[in-house]
Amino acid sequence: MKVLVLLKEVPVVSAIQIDPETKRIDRSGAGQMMNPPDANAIEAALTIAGSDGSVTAISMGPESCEDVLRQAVGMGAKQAIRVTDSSFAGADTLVTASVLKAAADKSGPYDCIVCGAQSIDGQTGQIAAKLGTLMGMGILTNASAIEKDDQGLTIERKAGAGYEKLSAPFPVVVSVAEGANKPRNVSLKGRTAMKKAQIEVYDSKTLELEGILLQSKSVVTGLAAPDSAQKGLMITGADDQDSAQKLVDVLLENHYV
Amino acid sequence: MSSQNIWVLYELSGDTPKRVSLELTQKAHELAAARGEKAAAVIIGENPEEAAKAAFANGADCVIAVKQKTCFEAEAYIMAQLIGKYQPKLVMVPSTPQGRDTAAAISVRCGVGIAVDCTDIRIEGEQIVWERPSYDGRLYAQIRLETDPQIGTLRAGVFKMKEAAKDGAEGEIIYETVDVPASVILTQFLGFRPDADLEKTNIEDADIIVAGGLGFGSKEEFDKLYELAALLGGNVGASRAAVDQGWVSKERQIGITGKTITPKLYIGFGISGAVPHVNGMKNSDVIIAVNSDPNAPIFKHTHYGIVGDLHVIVPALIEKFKEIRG
Ligand SMILES: Cc1cc2nc3c(=O)[nH]c(=O)nc-3n(C[C@H](O)[C@H](O)[C@H](O)COP(=O)(O)OP(=O)(O)OC[C@H]3O[C@@H](n4cnc5c(N)ncnc54)[C@H](O)[C@@H]3O)c2cc1C
Ligand SMILES: Nc1ncnc2c1ncn2[C@@H]1O[C@H](COP(=O)(O)O)[C@@H](O)[C@H]1O
Repeated sequence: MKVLVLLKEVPVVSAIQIDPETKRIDRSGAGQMMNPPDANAIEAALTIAGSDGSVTAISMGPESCEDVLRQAVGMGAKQAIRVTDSSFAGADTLVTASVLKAAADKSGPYDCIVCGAQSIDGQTGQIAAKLGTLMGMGILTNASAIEKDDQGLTIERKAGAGYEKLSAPFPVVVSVAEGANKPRNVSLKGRTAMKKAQIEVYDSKTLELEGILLQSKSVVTGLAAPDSAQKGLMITGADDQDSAQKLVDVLLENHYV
Repeated sequence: MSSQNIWVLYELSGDTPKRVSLELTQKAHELAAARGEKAAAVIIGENPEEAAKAAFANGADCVIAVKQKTCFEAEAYIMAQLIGKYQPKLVMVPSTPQGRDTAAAISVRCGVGIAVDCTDIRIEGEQIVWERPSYDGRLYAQIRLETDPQIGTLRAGVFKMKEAAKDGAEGEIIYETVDVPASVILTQFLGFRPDADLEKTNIEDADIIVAGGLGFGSKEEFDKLYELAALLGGNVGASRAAVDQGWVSKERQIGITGKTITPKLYIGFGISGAVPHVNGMKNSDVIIAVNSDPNAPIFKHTHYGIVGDLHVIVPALIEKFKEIRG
């Protein structure tokens, strides 16, 4: 089984500073890391590939994203490819999915493509379904559990007050929710492989991509910290017992309860 | 039908529309009225009649019904055909697990941009502005789409439902049939497994939420909220900090990385009111908070605030409501 795993490098979101007055965003102190569910995606990819299969990892991004590719190699991926081009900058999800399709076509074919359910910066969760539609493959998103048989994959995913069960035959795209499995550690052998890993680089020329396909159709026009609402009334009692009584009165008088 | 229509793609459970479909219909009605356009509900399913009634009652001017069995891949295919034929201006899709996949596939099939998981949509002059959380909910992004139709998915609960204004309203139902090639349908839906624990924690549907934060100090203290919630006929929510302490399951977390709720009444105890939390509950009808710190930011959002000790106030409320309800 030949499996592709897609990895994204994201900023350490919790380290982004926002000035509460000016709402200005300061990303300078925030480092980069692997998008959290992508570690679960690597684990799922290795499990699906099995001991006689192989996993290829692809990430689209600047040179720094080779770190996440090396991490995948350390865990057991056999091949790592970085996809980059100045014309890919600012790509929306449709462009990203189109570029990833070209990279998958060039390095594939694959029986299965695994990605994270959602990125913590863009938070779109669009790649799996877009890539699946572009490639004409089955689409299983947001898996919290994955089972494999000879035909294909069956997943469970959380939906409201329960779990939905879905299946699709190979070839299939599956996106994996954070916590769906326990990503394996990098072994001693893995550590050596990480260091030695040769990372191939694809650009728009290698992928024969250009023009309209690379034009983003959605644009972020603003990015801001959210506003706060208005101030209201205070309930003040002689002591906490009295305040509780006054609250009960407010709730009953206004038919709130 | 004019090309300037505002569409809502319905999501059904059985033949009944999910609540979010109706929330979006009311919003579509409001936007359409403001722009002198028409709101249409697109209902794909074997028995679309019940959903059509609900659509009219909630402000749809017209219904496009495709009477056939469906799945998200078929739905995206059908939508792409309908969009090609009618050229709507705006298409709203519920931001549910299925809706997000359907919308992604529509975006590919129509080659259009998309704004996903939005918490607001505004018309500013000629421009449609979609607003959505990003960066783990710490920032809001405004999105402009460069292609027509404008397609976005919108979260459940962000538009407050009003009572169905026009019960018994009728309107035009246009029936369409679309042949979906078998090759489109690769994914099979095998069923739904209800999970009792998730059922209990389905806080989005509660009219009353009592929520607890770090101020409780311990799981034992936090657990008292369940009795208060039961007495009020409500459910228990929590801040992320309380969840992180392990006092309560993540399923009850309110906020940008938890659930968005719009109950009739929210009462927060020992919750400071950090922005990520407030964004998950600020649209509640009535917001009340109890906090020992008079400067807690939550008081900027409350209709009623109480500065006091929750360890006294929570048990006192339980006793008083036991008397009233007992
Ligand atoms: C990326 C990101 C995403 C996040 N997403 C969410 C989210 O979805 N939801 C969420 O809730 N948070 C979220 N947070 C966390 C958020 O920023 C706050 O840390 C969190 O909401 C604080 O929870 P709290 O109010 O319970 O705790 P605290 O801020 O510690 O507040 C506790 C409050 O209890 C009061 N108190 C203490 N003792 C008593 C007493 N005896 N009686 C009455 N009051 C008392 C204190 O005065 C204080 O105001 C997120 C953070 C990040 C970085
Ligand atoms: N630039 C990228 N390169 C490789 N994989 C990506 C990229 N962007 C997104 N993905 C994959 O798609 C998943 C979902 O991301 P998103 O759809 O952006 O929320 C991520 O977890 C990755 O697995």
